[in-house]
Amino acid sequence: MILDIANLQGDGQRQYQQDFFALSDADPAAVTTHGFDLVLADGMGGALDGAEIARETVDLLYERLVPVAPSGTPRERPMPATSNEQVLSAIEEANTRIYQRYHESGGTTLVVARIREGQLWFASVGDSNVYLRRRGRLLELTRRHEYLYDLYDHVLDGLLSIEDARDNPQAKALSSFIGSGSLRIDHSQEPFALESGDVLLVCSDGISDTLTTTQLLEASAQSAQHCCDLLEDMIKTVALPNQDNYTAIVVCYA
Amino acid sequence: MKQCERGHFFDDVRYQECPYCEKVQPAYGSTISVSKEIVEPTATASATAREPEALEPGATAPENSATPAVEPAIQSIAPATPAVEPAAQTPTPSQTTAPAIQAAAPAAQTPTPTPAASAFPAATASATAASAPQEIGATVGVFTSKVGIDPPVAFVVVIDGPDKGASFALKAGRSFIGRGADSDVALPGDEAVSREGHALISYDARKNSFLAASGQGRQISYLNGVELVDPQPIKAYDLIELGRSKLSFLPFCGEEFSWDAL
Ligand SMILES: [Zn+2]
Repeated sequence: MILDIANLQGDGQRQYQQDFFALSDADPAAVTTHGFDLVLADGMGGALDGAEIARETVDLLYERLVPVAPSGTPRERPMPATSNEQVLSAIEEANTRIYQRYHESGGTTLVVARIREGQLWFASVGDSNVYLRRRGRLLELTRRHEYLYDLYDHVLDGLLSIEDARDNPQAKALSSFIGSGSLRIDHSQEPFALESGDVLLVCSDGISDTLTTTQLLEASAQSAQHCCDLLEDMIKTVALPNQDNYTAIVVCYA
Repeated sequence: MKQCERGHFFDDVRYQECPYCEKVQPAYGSTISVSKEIVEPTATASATAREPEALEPGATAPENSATPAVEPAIQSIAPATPAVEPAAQTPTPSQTTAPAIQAAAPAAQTPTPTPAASAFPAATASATAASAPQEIGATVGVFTSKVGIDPPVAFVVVIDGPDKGASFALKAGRSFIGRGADSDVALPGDEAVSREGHALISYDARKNSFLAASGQGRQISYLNGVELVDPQPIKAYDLIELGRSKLSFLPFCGEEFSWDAL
């Protein structure tokens, strides 16, 4: 299993960096032995809270997922989650911890993705994105936990018009996040096999809200680092006056 | 490029220490509170705070014959075959497994049966002040009790694909399209169609109109050649494509006729 991995992060026009992420050792030998894990969180909350929450959540998950740090030193308290159920438990643990401290005045999105023996498994909470590029197509593997989708449910029942749903001031609010009193976790039911040439793109909404899927598709045609460079160029070209923090993790599977 | 203790790749020629790991510092002194960023979580929290009612575990669905009582579609990822063809099945995300939130599994766009719908007034009262919950909630019930039967409101004909020639009468509420035999529109021959809830068509009895929507699992469907992302209104002879199947839609209710008129 050969993985080509790169990451990108920028502050955009924000005063704080509220995205945080972590990757396991990308060294080929480590990947062969342990597989590969990534964690991404996009914090929300006033001032520094969002950043702290994202950092704490990522660190908690990283501690649970990754037994050996990239430097090769075993972690102090290795508690590697061997099953995906344990990862879900760790996500719930993070949720409880953040909820008890912030009572929904702050929180974070979270994506965890694991690649083991050519199989991908992931979990997502909130509106960060997991894309898979396969044979020239970009598949969005998650549906954002936005209140809009709950409203769409009512649209389908004829209780609300599409316009009312879209115009709802809460439409973009997160319907699930780490630190929520009513957590929902979306995750793959079972790991599924990656194909040679697949590209996994995990990003915060600072990427996916600024760039089009066509741009993501174009960037993901490149090697991992080149993809990250291209994404950054694209974001700087769009130059949104209120560009959000942006983070991307790109994993090319060969 | 070097990996730090958290695995961040950084340019160790430019940076001595990982720039991503740096502890966050207030950029412009500590007195600043950024209003936008404070507002966001509040909105989030209040929207979410309403959720539990809608998603109360163990809530029993009230009898409502106008809404097909469809099990929350459990999409299993086809381990070996995530989708690649234009309309094949995509690797499906999304099942909530935590026992405490099992009932919440039909997330956002899940074909949620009645619990969420019945909780609608409470769930969205403040979010959608414009709509009047009681009146709305009653509409569907009135529709069925008046008629006393469960009559067809539209028809779907499979015009291409393994199940070509099959036809289906749609009832009021939501009709789910899937490979499983218990789907309202069942396409048992099309392996590229999800077992449950690949796509759905809903009939709005109040407005006498139809909507097509993708199912929960991000399987791709097309309406007249365009990917169905948001729910879209559909009309006579519109073409719905999913998997290797093409379906034509024929409304029965509409301007010319509605069961309410009887
Ligand atoms: Zn670092």
